[in-house]
Amino acid sequence: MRFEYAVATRHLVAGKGQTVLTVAAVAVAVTVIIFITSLIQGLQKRLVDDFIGSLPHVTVKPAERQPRSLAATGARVAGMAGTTVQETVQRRESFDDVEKLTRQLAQFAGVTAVVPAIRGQAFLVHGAKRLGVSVSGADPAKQERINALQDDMIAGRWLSLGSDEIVVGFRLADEAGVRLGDRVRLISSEGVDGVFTVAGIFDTGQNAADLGSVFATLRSAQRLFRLQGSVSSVLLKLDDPFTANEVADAVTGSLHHKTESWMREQAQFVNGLRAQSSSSAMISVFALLASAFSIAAVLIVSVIQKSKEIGILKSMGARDRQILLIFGMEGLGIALVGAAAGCGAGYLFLRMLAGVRQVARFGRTDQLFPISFDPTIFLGAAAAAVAATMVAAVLPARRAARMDPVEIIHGN
Amino acid sequence: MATDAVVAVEGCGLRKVYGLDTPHPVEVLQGVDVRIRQGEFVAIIGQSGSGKTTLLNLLGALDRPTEGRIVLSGADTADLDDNGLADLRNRVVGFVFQFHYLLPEFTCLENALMPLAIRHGSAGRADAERVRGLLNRVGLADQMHKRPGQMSGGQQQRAALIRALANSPRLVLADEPTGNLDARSGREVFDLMREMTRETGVAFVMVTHDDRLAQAADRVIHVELGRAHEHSGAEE
Repeated sequence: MRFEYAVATRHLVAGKGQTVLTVAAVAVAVTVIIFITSLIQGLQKRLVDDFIGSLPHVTVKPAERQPRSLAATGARVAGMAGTTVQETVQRRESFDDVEKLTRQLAQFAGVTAVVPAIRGQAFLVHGAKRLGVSVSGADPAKQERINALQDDMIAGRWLSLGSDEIVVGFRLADEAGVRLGDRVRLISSEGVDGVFTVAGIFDTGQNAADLGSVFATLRSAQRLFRLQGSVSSVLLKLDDPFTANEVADAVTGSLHHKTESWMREQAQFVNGLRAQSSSSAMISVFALLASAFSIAAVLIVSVIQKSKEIGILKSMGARDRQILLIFGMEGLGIALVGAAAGCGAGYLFLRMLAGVRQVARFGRTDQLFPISFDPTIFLGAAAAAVAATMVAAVLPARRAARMDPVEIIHGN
Repeated sequence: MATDAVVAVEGCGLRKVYGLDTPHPVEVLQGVDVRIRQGEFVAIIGQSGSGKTTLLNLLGALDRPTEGRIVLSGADTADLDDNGLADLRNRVVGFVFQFHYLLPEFTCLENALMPLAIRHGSAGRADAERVRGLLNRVGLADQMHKRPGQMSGGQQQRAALIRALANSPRLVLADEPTGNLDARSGREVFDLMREMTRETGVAFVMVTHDDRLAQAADRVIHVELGRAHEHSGAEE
């Protein structure tokens, strides 16, 4: 081993330019992989936080009562020739035993928050303005676990909302000419009417929410939508948003309620994320391939250059395995030094980019490049590069090991 | 030369055919018998393509005969696999080629110690001391830590000679070892080989085109058209 190590290291040290070139090829590949993966992962995390952050991952709703045909009921009606099945219209389904359901839903794996809520349509009336809005009613402290509205508040308060208070989006406030502390009327789709004080104004960054959403307490919503003691839906937050489909299906399967998963509701967004992930994976693969090919090419040239030395070593009794080990070690040396250099360069590069800030609205700044420093990305990139380099080194090393000393030494 | 001296290598009925799987195989050796004893200095001469180098490769277990038997330092090479042959070469054979083939990344001393490094991982202190002594003996005392590129042709070939002797082999095989040197350096290297043979008791077989050098050997084997004829060296 010491002999093979000595020959391999001498080759690498003596082959200055060649060695630097191959090490750089590995390092560049590792840097590219770390950079692209960290950037895409950071970007996705931000997108997911910003976008899914304001959505429940799974919404549980009561199963609509399916009307059955008369024939199916088994009742016999004289002279009946056929029946038409028509779904009920405008019938609000609700959960009555909210506490039991909350307990049941909390049992599902990955569920981190269970929020009983009411969502309904209403008109917001202020002076001559009459705007259609979507009213979400839930306990603010619980609702906060779904969409972290507190971070988006630009005026007033939210967490200590009273039962005669609401918070509205800043675009809605603008549109309706409402200011903090103003009183507005809400007329629900159930025909119930109430007067509320605007206790807070939020900016989620999403136009639809900022223009059309009103948040109220659960009690207010229950009154507005005639759902005393019950709720129209239960919102779930999961530790991994991307398990929403599985959790939704599990809930439907065991509790027979209707479920909506954000991944199905926002399929285009999910496809976008997937496309991003696969393009990042593709860039990584091509970076690895490019570096592996350049290393294989350099090592093959090096084996050809050193064929006389290989021949003489074999004539002196070096076994095939020893020759294989020499060139394998050269590959490993290039891979390890290159991977370490790539990790270092990748880290510095990411640190540099993470420091670049952009101005966000309302005087806040945030990172221009959302970077996630994930050690597994560094380890993964290094491992992938070492593996690719070793694969690239195998061919030249085997070629060297199989050389026939008689042919090499006398073949000129 | 005493006939009862220990046999270093013996080849019986050696045939070597190249290109057996082609339509025109070439029979380079057509049944050669040869026996080299310890302490002998043997020259192999013959025209280009007569099979001298092939015979040398067979004797050194660098190649296998198509037919016939080689017993090298008591071991029948037919009984050994490739690793076995490599180990046998490492223990009992030293090669010197027309070109020195020293590894350019290693110093003169490191190159000379290479066979020991191949066997043991690195050379032990006693071995290193012995090899240093040999390098001193051939006038390379001040070249030990130089790279081959910093040495003259004659010095490089002397270093290659010591490398061939580093493992204390039974047999040294030299293929035109002076062919690449000017007349004076060639003669110097030859004289050293002759002296080292006497001093170490190794069997030395040298392929050469130089009739004058051949005449200085103990025995001369003349290879012609794939067959070997033997006669004693003129200086015997």
